[in-house]
Amino acid sequence: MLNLRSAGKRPVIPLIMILGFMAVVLVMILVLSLGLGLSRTFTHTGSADVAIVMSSGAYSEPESHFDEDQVRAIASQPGVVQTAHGALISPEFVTSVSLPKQGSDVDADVVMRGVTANAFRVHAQIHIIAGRLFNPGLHEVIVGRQAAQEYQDLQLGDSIRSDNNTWKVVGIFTADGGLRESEIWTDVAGLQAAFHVGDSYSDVYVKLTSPEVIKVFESGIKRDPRLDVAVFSENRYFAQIAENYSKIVNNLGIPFAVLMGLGAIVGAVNLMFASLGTRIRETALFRALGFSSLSTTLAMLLEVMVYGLIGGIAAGLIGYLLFDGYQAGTTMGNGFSQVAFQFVVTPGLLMAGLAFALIMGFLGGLFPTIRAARVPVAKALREI
Amino acid sequence: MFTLIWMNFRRNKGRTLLTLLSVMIAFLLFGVLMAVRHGFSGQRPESQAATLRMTTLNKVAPYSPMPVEYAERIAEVPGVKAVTYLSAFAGFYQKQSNFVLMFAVPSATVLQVYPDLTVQPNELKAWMADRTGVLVTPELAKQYGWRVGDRVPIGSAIQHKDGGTTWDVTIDGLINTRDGAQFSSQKLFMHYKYLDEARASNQGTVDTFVELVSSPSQTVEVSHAIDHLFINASPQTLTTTSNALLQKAYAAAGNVGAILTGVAVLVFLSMLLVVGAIMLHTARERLSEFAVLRALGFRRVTITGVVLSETILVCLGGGLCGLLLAYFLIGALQHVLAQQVAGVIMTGFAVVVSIALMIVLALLAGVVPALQTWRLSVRDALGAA
Amino acid sequence: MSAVAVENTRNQPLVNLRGVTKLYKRGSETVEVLKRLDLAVPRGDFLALMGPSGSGKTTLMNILGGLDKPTSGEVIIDGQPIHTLSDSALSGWRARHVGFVFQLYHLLPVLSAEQNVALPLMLTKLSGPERKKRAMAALTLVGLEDRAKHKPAELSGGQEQRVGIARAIVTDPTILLCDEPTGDLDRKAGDEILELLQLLNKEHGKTIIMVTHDPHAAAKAERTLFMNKGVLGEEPEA
Repeated sequence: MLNLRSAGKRPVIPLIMILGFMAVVLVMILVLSLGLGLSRTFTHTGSADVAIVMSSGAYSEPESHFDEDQVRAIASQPGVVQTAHGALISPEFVTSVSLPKQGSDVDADVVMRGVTANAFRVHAQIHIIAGRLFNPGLHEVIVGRQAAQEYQDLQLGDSIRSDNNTWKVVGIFTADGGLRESEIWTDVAGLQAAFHVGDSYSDVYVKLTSPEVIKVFESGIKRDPRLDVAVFSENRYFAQIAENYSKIVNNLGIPFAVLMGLGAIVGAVNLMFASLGTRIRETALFRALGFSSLSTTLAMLLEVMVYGLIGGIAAGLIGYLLFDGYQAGTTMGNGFSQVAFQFVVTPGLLMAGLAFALIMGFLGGLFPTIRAARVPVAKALREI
Repeated sequence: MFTLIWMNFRRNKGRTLLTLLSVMIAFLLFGVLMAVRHGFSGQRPESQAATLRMTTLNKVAPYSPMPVEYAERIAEVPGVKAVTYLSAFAGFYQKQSNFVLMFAVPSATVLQVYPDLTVQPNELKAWMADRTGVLVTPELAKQYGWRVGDRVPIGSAIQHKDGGTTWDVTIDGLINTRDGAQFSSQKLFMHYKYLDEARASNQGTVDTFVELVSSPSQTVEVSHAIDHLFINASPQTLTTTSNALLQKAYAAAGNVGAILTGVAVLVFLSMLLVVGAIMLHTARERLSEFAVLRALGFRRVTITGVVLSETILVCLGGGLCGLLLAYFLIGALQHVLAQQVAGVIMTGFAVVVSIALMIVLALLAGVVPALQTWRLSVRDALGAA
Repeated sequence: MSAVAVENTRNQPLVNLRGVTKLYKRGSETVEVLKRLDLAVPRGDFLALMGPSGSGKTTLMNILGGLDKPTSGEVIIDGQPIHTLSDSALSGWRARHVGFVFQLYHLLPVLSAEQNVALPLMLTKLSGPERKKRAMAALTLVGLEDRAKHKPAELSGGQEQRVGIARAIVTDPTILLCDEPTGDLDRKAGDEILELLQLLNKEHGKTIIMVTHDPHAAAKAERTLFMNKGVLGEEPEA
């Protein structure tokens, strides 16, 4: 390419433009991968054929309350899968424990969930990958994979001290990358006793015979005078939360990246105009030699777009290496407790970044190009 | 010489404008970043009253219920001037998305521990006498169009003995929290008695005790003493200063702070590159002009001073404009983020740091052109052999 | 030893160079550009300096104008030994005593003709209106008062040079140093410039030292000296 050769002679300005574009795309990738990672965690949490039942008006699981009678009432509703062992429902008691994070001396709250044996039939994604399941009544717990990574002393064999009780970690589990992996599970009776809550449960997860059945289930429940509850399809519940939080990330992050992009464009335009003198002379020379006006003009525009492209590709590589799989944790989850998640960089994301880079390159090159194109050849040549 | 500087700006108005714009955008971004970061860091201006306050929570699961009787025992701990308690829960008005933060408090002691809460005396009196009355923050009243005397239903997740979940309350007056929003500003204060007598579960419990100590130096001593009271009880307690608690809540927001800092650094560095390149280029173009000026008798110091001044002016001018814009943008952001994080403000510290950075930017970007100008060989630049 | 003593009709030469030597380092070599040169220029003289490129005439000009210092020797102008002045002091001296006219005019493109001419006056204590008055006076003298508001880009080569001359005389300097003033102009425009210089010399008594490679231009001066390999002589070397 005609123009890139001259760029090679004076690499400073092109380099700066490339770096500027790269920085912007990097920020964009950061924001998007954060949002994506966060929403992935939520969307991998729910199933279409599981319903959550919480007390009406509860914003999060710990706020919701059920007693044994209400749980039994739920078990007998139409739409619930009935097995030889009884209804496939999982009443759970949710609270939180304060534990120190890895590499920090500040505590953060982790969800501790008391469950029955049915929980593992209702939440099909739970798999124990190390150790074993806890035995009821022995103050044993299993820890989600993400939680084990985020917090200190949550490995097999470690002990959690709380409130006169000691809990022993006997297993590590995965949950398809979903929210549950940030939690600690134990048997519900033990947890209820430890917290002096009697037979109170937080909420009930119900396995439905099929996803469509949820309407039937819901109307059945509403008709029961003992239950003043709200019913949610599990995956839609979490998808909603995910949407809310990725809205924040995107509402903040995208405008930020766009503004930054604007800054990069302004910078590029500025730099291009600054070196315009040299370029005009060069292009005038080419025009005098017979190259068409159009091709020389386009060459300049393309040049800046190429810088954008290079910047975008570089940002993509760095972004992928740096961000993909980056372990993070934040208070976006059940009230105050932590959700551990990982940043996710997908090819689609990289494409978006690249597209943005090209747009920046285009806009950055447009104005100087138009300006250069207007200069008559004769005048430009005179200045050589 | 100002004429020379002015002359150089006029020389290429477009470029000057674009460079100013670049710097402006950079500091706009920077200002917003710092404000959001400040919000997430949980740092608050240390109000006088706040330094004397401690918070006692359920040790294992913060904000989980604790027996209200603990209050009497806490009050007897030496160093504790007054103790109050609260149960907080989420409420909503008409729609689930109309969030109201409810605090059930004992009217007798709450103002002792929070002297920075102010109420009109007649409104306060009315509330004290009204079992189902509430005091609300002005922001909350404004948001839902409530006026003193209105009777409003607030929905919640808390079941009543009679099966309902709605609290019918009367707006008895407005309450102002002077120490700068700790949570969102949509607060409602009701009588603890009303909550406890009506609710179906967790009777006799509260989720937070708040103590007023005699002096800040006693906080460590008092916190240990209080927790020791309940070491064999269930639940155990954990007492910290109010500020420390907030910090923990926001430390939970985790790596956000680090990410924001990283982005800020990125923005600054790219700005440095761009402005530096422009300044360099501009100076290089004008070397022959500088040579002429030197030949005419202008001193080396003067000319170099001009180059540096230009860089400083561009950086300060653009930067301050950017900060100003950031100030307004932050104001808008506060509303958007009110529920998730408070304290998204431009602190004095941020302004000072920003201005320092502007100067650093100017010096770094200007040092090479200035050196070039200083070392200029007039002979060579004028095209002598 | 090649020295030339010039008959002077006044007591004190305005410009007096004695034993001026200038050495330059080019890579590892040291080149002697000026060799123990003597020069005396009386007040009111119009001197042309001719010589091939590389002869050192531009270096001599620079030293005369205080833009360069000799490696050894004395440079005394209007009684002042400028070779002893510091860089900063030289700037000030230059502002008051020297007017430069450059081959490439070197006008500031962003300023108008009038502003360009007024530029050297900014180093004085004159007020704005006074500077403007003097600038206009200088422009009138060179015949360009109706072009005062024009920018250099709007002027022809000859006009630009006249503005250059106006700028050179606006501070009423002791000497005018012209470096190939007609080098970039065609014959006609060049002649106009030379006539202007003659005018300044004869009617206004300005002392002018002009470097040129054009014998036609040199002929317009009062006398000519020849530079060759760092040495001044009255005859061009063969």
